[in-house]
Amino acid sequence: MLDTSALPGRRSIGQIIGRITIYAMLLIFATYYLMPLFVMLSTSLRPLAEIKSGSIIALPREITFDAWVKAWGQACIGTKCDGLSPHFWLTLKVVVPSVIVSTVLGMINGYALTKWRFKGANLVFGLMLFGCFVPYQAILLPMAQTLGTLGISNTPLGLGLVFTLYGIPFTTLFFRNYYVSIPDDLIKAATIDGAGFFATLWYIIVPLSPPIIVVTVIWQFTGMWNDFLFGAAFSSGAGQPVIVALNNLVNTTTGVKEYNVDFAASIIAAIPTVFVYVVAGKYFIRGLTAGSVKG
Amino acid sequence: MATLRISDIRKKLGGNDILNGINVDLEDGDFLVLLGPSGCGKSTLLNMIAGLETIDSGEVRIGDRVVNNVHPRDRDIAMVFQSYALYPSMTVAKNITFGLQRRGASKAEQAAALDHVAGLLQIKPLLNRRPAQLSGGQRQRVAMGRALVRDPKLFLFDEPLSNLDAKLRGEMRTEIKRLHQRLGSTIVYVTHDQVEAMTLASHVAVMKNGAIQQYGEPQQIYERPANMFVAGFIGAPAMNFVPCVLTQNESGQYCATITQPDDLRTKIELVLPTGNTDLSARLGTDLILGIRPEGITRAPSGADDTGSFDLVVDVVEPTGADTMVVFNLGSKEVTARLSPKDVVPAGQSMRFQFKMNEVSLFDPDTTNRIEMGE
Ligand SMILES: Nc1ncnc2c1ncn2[C@@H]1O[C@H](COP(=O)(O)OP(=O)(O)O)[C@@H](O)[C@H]1O
Ligand SMILES: [Mg+2]
Repeated sequence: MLDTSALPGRRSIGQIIGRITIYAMLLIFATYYLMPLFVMLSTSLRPLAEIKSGSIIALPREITFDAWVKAWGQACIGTKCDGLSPHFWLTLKVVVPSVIVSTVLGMINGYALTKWRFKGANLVFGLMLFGCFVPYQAILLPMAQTLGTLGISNTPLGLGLVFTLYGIPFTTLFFRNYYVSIPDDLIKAATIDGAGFFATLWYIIVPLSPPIIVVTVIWQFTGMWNDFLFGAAFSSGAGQPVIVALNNLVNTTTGVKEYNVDFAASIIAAIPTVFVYVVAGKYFIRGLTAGSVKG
Repeated sequence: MATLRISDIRKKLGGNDILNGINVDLEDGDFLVLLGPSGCGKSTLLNMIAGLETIDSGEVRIGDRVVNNVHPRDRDIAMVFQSYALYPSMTVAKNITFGLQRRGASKAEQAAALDHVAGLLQIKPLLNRRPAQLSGGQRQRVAMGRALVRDPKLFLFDEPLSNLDAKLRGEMRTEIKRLHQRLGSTIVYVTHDQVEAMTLASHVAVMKNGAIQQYGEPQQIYERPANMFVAGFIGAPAMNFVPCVLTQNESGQYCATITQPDDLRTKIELVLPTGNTDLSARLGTDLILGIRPEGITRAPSGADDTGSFDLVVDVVEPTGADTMVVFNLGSKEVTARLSPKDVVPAGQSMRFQFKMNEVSLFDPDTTNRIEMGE
């Protein structure tokens, strides 16, 4: 890399001021964006009495994890006082299989649409793309009826089915756009080598797919985890996913507003998505920009 | 090893006729080159032999089996692609043995076959690398290895050398020729490079617009091109086409008479080697005389043979071994390939001679060859 400080000629005052301005701006924006998280974290660690007596934006004088314990296991949601944890596990139980199933189906769709082009493949893809643009609200009633007919209303299976179905157009789009850049000759070579549809997918295509798998998994996981509308529409009581439960937890008041518990619960509800980004984030950027597959 | 018989193959794609009735007949051990410009349907034909494209009508027969409805896997063929199509995630060894593994060969069989092929192609040091870590020439070798390892009946090559630089291309061409001589395999090889066709082929099929223009041995195609397209496509620099009129001289010999545009009185009269062919029906009509650059020499000074004439040299292009000399004849630029010692500077006049037994004659309307001699 070019070391600008080693270039001939001296630095002018203007350059130095420019530098300082850039760093000052970066610092201001970083603080600005991190402030809510900081307030949430510090408040969640303060006892309620301390919050009531002083400013909401202040460092804890006394650190306590009581609010976290309560948010996780004792806080009341509606009439039940079991905290967020049952909803957290339930959501994980719904989201993980839905992410896996919708990603695998999207992969197979994308592969079939690009590498095993059949008559009407473009039409099928067009219809699938249309699925990405159908507003959530439009499918609420038909979906509720379908779930009722299938007898899986307000079950983890029912919610998982909704997530999976609504996810497939997106995952198909992702994989399809990634796979068009894989040369068709690879498929021809594999066909002559004796590999069929699934053998070619497994031995040739999947090993080339980690970047797009990561992108799809992050996209699907955050989308499903943070979903509110489907959760609110298709579940109730103990069947509610964590975000809906969080909303109800915050709205269930027994006299005093427990800011520390609310904030702790919010952070708990956000941890899995943060975790996924931290673990897979660098692949996320790489996957979004990766284009051609070098032979 | 096997014979290949293609009978009246036709193909439509997206409403266009891509192949219009192709016929090919190959003996065991033949090396067929499909030669033609880009887009003429060579790859489509090759893919149909491989089974990667369906056949609209006609028949492909490998050995004594009609394979129209046989899956590519079961046709006992191997193919080398222009892009090499190596599996990016697999090592060289895995790339080569994938086909064996898919066919259920044992580990020991795979290892033995791999060892044999890697020795043949001298790629043993590369076996644990991935395709991305190989140079173009090395990838080419691995792609060949993948085809050779299964010892198929029929090899199909789709422009395998066109992604290599000129020097490497020459080396690999020699190598392919050596492999063919050694293994005696039946090969169908697609290229748009006439040098590859001339050097490698036992038979050439020159294609244009989905039809075979001429099918024959390379030397035959070079010496007796069936039409002006074939004549122009084979040989570099290309054959010269000079407009002329068919006449007869006092002794009754047929002549190609060329009129120089800047001097209408100068008529160059070249006696044609017509043997006892009767061309009287064409007397007085316009024809095209085809002469290759190497069919033009410098006439010995003072020679007054038939077929020699004085002309001014327009451009001189030395290429090392030979020098190309361009002059104007019958309103056309004509290139001669001469020995450097025979060349005079541009602007001077020299005496040229046509090797009249090497010329071709074409009908300007149909562009087809007019047979002479014998
Ligand atoms: N799927 C397709 N649909 C329509 N036309 C096609 C298709 N594939 C190839 N073609 C056309 O067929 C012709 C022959 O193609 P190809 O066999 O690849 O030529 P070559 O290998 O000789 O360069 C080209 O004009 C090409 O545009
Ligand atoms: Mg081609």
